[in-house]
Amino acid sequence: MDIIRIPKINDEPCDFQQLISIWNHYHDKKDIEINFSDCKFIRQNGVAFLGGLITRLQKNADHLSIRWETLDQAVYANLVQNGFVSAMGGDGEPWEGNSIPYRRDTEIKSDSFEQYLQDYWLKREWIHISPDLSDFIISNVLELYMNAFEHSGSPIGVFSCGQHYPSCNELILTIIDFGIGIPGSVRGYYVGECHNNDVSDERALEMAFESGFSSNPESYPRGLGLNLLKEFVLKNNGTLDVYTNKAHALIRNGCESYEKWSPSFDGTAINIRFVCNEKLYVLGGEDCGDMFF
Amino acid sequence: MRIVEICSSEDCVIIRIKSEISERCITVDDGEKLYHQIHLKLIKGDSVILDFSGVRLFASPFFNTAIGPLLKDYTNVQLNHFLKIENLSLNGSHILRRVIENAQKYYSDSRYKNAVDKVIAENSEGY
Repeated sequence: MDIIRIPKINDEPCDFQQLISIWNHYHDKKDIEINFSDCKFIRQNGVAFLGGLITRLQKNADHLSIRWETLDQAVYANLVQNGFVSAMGGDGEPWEGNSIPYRRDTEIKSDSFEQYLQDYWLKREWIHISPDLSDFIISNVLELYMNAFEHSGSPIGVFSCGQHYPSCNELILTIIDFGIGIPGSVRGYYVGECHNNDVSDERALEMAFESGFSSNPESYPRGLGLNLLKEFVLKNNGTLDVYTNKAHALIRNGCESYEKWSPSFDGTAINIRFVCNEKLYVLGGEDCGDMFF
Repeated sequence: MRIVEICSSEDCVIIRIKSEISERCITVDDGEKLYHQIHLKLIKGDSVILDFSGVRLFASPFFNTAIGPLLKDYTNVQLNHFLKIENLSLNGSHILRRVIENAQKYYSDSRYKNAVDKVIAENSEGY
């Protein structure tokens, strides 16, 4: 039997490295125990990632044992509260708290996801922002959610979890799929179009963020979602981390970088962070009022 | 690129998006549904007003399929004359303008691509 020892999980690049290594090493194992003795803290990205890993193991492993009793009490309470434990077959009903519920989607449900963001993520009791700003943020996050379905081909679905940090007035959301990754999707388009396939993962990821670039050739123009999101994050002091295949994109403090990443991840993990302060936001300015076409 | 002639019927049709679609204009399917409605009216020669009152949420896949393909079928002059957009929020307006800009580039690129293909095909006929 293989034992996965879940470490303490924050949401820095080194934490994503650990999570991806765990996924790469264990997701095809047949006899597995998950042990939380070393896990003293777990952020929303860890919850979403483990949701994917356990879902995969529940489908494919012959024997899976989740040792809930090895969890630290506070961590366990947090995982019960956000619905992770019950979703994984453990005991305990979720309740409302600072953790935004764990969620798995196997098909696109944009209305339900919007409601989730509205009810749990941008909760009125937590943050004081105008309805316009709330709608603007939700629109941008929905672009991400739909992108995860349109391009990934994730066989086990899309996993989300969030967290509100009242002390720093931050909202974080992680969305993970276990599909082919953004560079894989971009490269698929290139092969289909008989272009040169010799493009690095970090360059392919950068291309996916460029305006009008779509990895999914159709008979209509597309390929704006990631570009719009990037623009929003750059203008509004947000942070966006994307880990996919052998590339890591970081958009923060008005800058963007696309770098080689190891270990490779056959999927896409996105961590998005907003500061909940209305004064910091630019909603694109006044509309110029010119004709649209 | 195919340009469709519009013979004005002097009729004006208002499509109220909130009741026809919903207060969320997000998905490709909803966009396609709206595109067909607009296209049907325009080819009959009707003017169309898209009234976005009460629509809160927008995402680019909706506009990509609702409005983007119109730029293949009609000229900017035709669209500015026959298709009016009203009560669109700042967010919606921002996304729509980007979608239109992208569609214009997309279709002008494909026109360029088609022209190149045509030249290549013509030149190869002689060999």
